[in-house]
Amino acid sequence: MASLALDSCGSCAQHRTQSLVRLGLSPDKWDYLVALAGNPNVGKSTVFNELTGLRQHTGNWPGKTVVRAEGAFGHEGQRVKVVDLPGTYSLQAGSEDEEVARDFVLFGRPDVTVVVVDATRLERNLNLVLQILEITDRVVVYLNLMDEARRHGIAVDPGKLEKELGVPVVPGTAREGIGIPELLAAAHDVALGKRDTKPFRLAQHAPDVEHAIERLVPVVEEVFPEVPNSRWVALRLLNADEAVQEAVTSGELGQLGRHDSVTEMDPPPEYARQKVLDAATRLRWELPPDFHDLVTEHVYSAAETIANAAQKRGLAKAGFAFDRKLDDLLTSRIFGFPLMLMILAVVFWLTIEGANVPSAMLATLLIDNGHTWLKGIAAAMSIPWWLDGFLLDGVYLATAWVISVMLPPMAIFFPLFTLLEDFGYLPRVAFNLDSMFKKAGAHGKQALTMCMGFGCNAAGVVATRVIDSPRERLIAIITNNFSLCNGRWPTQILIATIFIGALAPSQLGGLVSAAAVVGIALLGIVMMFVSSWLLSRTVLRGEATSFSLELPPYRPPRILQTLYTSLIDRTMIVLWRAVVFAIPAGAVIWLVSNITVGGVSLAQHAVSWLDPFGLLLGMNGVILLAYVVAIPANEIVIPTVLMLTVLTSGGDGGAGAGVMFELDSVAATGDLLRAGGWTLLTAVSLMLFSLLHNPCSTTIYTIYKETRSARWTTVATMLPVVLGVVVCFLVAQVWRLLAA
Amino acid sequence: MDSMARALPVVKSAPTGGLGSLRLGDIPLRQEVELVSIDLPLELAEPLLERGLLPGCRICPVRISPSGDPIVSIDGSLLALRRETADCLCVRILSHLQDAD
Ligand SMILES: Nc1nc2c(ncn2[C@@H]2O[C@H](COP(=O)(O)OP(=O)(O)O)[C@@H](O)[C@H]2O)c(=O)[nH]1
Ligand SMILES: [Mg+2]
Repeated sequence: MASLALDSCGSCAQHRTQSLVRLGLSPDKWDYLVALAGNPNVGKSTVFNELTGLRQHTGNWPGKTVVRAEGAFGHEGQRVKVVDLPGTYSLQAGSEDEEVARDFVLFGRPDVTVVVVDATRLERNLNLVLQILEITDRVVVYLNLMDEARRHGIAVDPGKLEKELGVPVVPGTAREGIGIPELLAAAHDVALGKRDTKPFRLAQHAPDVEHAIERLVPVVEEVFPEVPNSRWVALRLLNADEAVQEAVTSGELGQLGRHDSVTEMDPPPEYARQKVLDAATRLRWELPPDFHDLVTEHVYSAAETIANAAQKRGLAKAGFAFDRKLDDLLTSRIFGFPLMLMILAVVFWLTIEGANVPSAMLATLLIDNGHTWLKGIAAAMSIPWWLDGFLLDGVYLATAWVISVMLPPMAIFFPLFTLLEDFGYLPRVAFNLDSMFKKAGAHGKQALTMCMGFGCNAAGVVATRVIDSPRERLIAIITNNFSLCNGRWPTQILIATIFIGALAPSQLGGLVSAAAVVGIALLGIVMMFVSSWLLSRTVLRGEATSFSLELPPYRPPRILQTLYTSLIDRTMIVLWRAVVFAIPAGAVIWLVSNITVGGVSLAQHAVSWLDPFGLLLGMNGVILLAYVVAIPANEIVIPTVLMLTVLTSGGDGGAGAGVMFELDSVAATGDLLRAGGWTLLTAVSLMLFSLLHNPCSTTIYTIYKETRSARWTTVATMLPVVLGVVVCFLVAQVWRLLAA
Repeated sequence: MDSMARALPVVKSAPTGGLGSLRLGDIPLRQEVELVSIDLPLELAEPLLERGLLPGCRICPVRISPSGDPIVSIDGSLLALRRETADCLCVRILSHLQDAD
């Protein structure tokens, strides 16, 4: 352990480590409740994971955690519940994720609040610590990132800081588990009242303010006798803080700072609550107009004084030389954009090339061997043909297909993406793209939510909580679907390989296909800008609000940990979802291909009815029908297309009505599609339509949950389809004109 | 506690004319300056204050994006701002040129 990181509890570290029992998910009952608060990107989720053994996502950019996560551990025979909160710079919440954090600190009744603090940015972090100390005295400060502080020549004296703040201060490096046992011990003692704290409270305000506070405090105390810091409540009420006013109106304020979560108290009568608000309003008139500035300044200057007392800087000139060199390249006027494209292309290329072999192996295993084997068993047991067909040819094959096509690319793409994220590249992308978002009247952080959308649009929609202006957040939600999500790029890759990569000499095929997929992804980004611009000129009119984004230092990613987390969590969760949707879809496909009306299957009826529309858009009825079937999950578009093509063109590659299958090779798939009348135009149109169509059902539901508005959900659903139809129609007409 | 350390107003609503009106947006790269005040209404200034842009602090523009938006270094961390925001930050030049830390 580093010399700086030793404190009074250091000697018993060994014992404490052994007494930590990770319990994983949140329990129904607990002995005490720990809240993890702090500025964004300081390592709160890392501490949470260390404590609970869970794998809450961490990422090197502000805004990674937007909802609160709960977990539990056992410590010294006690059950402890921990809550990981989104980052916030202050208790005056701006955006929705900050509100989640603020409300929990204020009204979640934690027994102890652990404030995670970035040791390299002490002053700014102390602002939040001081604000939290104003409302509760059960606080422990975890001084994280001591390794970075040391590297950058910043020395912080935890003992001195502890004396200044009056609450335990534990230094450490969460990523390596350093300081966690001591943190546990301190949190334990504070939560159970075994250790008294004397929190630093702001000294006198200006005389006018003091006078108003003094007159309001008795009113607050009379109505809410349990409130731990009536001075703070009075100050916030004088400030017209909406959350605190709301808490007074609802009587919730009476619960503030109560630590026994079992007994609920009756709120004070309504007239009494109104009395508090009236008194505050009256007193507010007597305050100077710049009152708010005075109070804000007070906190900031206190934070500065304490930070200066506890830290020594510039022992070595802060060592960000490597970061600066890298930023010279990655955010450079000349190289920034090309490098971004290159990184994107390399990620796709690795995914395409790397996924080929395992995909083929899985297909052989699950489809060629597994399916044949199961059919054999079914035949031996003489199961009726329709049950065998329904289960094995419908449900099983759909699932097997999704697994063999989805698993390998995801297992490569997600870890690569997470490594970039952990390294700190995402905020640089946001910086590079910000000027375009500004011109489109949107928020710069939309670039971050766009990047999340490349993984999963539903996740991208939730990530928009970091955008504080409701107008700009709505734009980000509506346009997130233009990020090509992982459910769609297997389609892109396959079609690009068959029809576009095949145009190039075979050594270059992979590169050309990757370039085509990157082209489609870029078109998506262009569409996102265009539609953001349109929205902000029409229904969502308004100016782009100011924006400032912290660019965190580059941090070496933890490769093994990242591989593990992204494989187990992201890949498996997305795969599971795909399988869940593939099962009923496989069943439906089998049914519509085998139920006949007037001698023709339902599927064929639908296809011939849709064909004229499909042709107008450069595609065909088969593709359109596949998109209808695949509304629940984009992943199953291609198997459905193949199956329906066999059915309608009478090709001989398939295995019978309603059977989804994997053809042995990409070339054979190409032959089949060409036999079904596919041309380069069909392929291009399909790739365009795959980019530009309605979001999947999960994303639509998420949009509804986030916006709480049927109207905006409809807009978000229909806008991409309309664009897709228009774009495909135009492309098809122009193409045919040129070809004629 | 020394609350006079930052006697200067955090927020000024009226733009100042003449000498005092040097803005961060006009500062060349690597010229370290001191923030004097933020010429923005408090709701807009608050997020900047929270991120460490406090009057009295030292700021150094370290990079300009293709469209002219600056990245500044304050207190060892990097903050990307929009140009309009940078034009609302009144600053004072510190005597010597410094290279970005
Ligand atoms: N060098 C170093 N990096 C850390 C430490 N703790 C966390 N990190 C990294 O800091 C980044 C932000 O961590 P995260 O837990 O997501 O922060 P949160 O936003 O506060 O939840 C991640 O890339 C972590 O790997 C630490 O003690 N040392
Ligand atoms: Mg987090």
